[in-house]
Amino acid sequence: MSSNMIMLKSSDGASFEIEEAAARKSKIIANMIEVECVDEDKAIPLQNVTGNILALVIEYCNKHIVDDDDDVATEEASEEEEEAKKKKVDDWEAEFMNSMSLETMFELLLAANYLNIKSLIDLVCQTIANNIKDKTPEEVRKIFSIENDFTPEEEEEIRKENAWAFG
Amino acid sequence: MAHEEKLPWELTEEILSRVPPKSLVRFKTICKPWNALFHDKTFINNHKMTFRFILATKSKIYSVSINPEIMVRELTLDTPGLESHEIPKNFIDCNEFLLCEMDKGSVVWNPWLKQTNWIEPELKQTRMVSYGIGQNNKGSYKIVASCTQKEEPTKRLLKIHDFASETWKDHHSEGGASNGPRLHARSGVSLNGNLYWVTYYDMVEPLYQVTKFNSSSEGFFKFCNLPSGTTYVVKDALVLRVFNGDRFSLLKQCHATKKIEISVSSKINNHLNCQGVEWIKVMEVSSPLNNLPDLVDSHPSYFIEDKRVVVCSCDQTGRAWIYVLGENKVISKTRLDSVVDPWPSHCSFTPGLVPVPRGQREELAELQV
Repeated sequence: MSSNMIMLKSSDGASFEIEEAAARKSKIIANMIEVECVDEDKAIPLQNVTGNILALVIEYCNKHIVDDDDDVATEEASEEEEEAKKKKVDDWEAEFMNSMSLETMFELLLAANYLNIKSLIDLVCQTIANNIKDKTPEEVRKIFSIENDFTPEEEEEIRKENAWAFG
Repeated sequence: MAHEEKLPWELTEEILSRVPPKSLVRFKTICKPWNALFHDKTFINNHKMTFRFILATKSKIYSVSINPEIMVRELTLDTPGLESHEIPKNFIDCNEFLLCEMDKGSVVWNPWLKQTNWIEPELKQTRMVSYGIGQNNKGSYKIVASCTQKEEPTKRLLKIHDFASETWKDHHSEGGASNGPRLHARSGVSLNGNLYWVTYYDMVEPLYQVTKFNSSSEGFFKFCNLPSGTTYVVKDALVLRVFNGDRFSLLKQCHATKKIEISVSSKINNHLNCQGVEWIKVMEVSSPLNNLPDLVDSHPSYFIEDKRVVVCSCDQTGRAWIYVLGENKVISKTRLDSVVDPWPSHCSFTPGLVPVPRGQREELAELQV
């Protein structure tokens, strides 16, 4: 496997070196590499991602490129080994997300979306979903910057129809 | 905490498709676009916790999701109202709800919201058999059932349970239930609040028709014929369902040839009369013969989506299978190995965020809490 290194540059000017295989987790970067848009001496500029978020994205990609290699190497692995490995990844992901504020999660989600990294989008969405599921509607509005466009009467009507869920 | 940059709508949808259904019910009040999203069938069907079939064995209840890989999960009975009771004997698919028959009484269950409501039978009623849940034009729900009474155990009486008043009343149909049409399958199909069954009168040479229960007038009458040529043949599978929210679909499998036909009706609205209903055959699966599923339990559960028909049925040994059918082909066959006990009862299920109907007294009590 090639261990070509490529450079990524965040919107605030920070440069990161990353293995090509890890960078290919991003469909956008993978496409750029395919069509040879990548000049080996120049960093790929990522206009929409700040340095601190890009560092998280790279941490995630590095971790998962190793896991993907393992998958190929141990195709014959027993079910228990598979399960143990899956648990290891799950634990790492839980730890990874656990250290983050909701605000960072939203930024990471936008970055994952921009870079088109499906598994990271899934992970962040699931974590945000777990985070908001027990919150009140008012709290959720704040988190998503949503304005309440119901009249008090309309809101009360829905609340009444669904009284059971508000208990 | 507020996030400065607005999240693109598709990412908001991605997040919400992972929020448990009960939380989504509360989130209906957040804003109009969210509330509209939660009424969108596509969103509900793509929700990560969606399931489309329920199976029950003697000891366990399972949900089956198909999007598109088939996942079987055990449903826990931690639903309030179900935990201390036996596994339901029978399920009737009433769109967003299931009507579960228990030893004593029935339970209206929204398994997706994990919400239940116990319907107590009247004291003198025995052997209650339920046919479906309808909704009248004022939005009030009704259960259609029948029972025998202790004084006259041979006579079946039609009963209507009204959720608003929480009472059972006798239904005085002409000639009584025993002289009315016979039900091909007793699970009623609920469309626009009214209930429909495939029925027949004559045992010798029966011709199938659809009988309607008008939930508002509480009358039964013949609604329409089935596609031409649908006559009674023992062991043929024949299952009426709702299609697209406003039409009927009919699955038929000829027992002798194993040919499967799917027909869809014209739009059904409440002003339509008998002559206005037309049927169009939309799918036929007749080959390869050796690959056709044998829907031996004669009441397979199914739903239609994206020009595919997804069927749940048992095979000759009682094992449950999911068949995905396309135009004249069997797209996939999957045996549900995790459903261990043979001959599970099964029904299709339409997940939705509609709370289980309750009586007025309960609603008042809830509001006062």
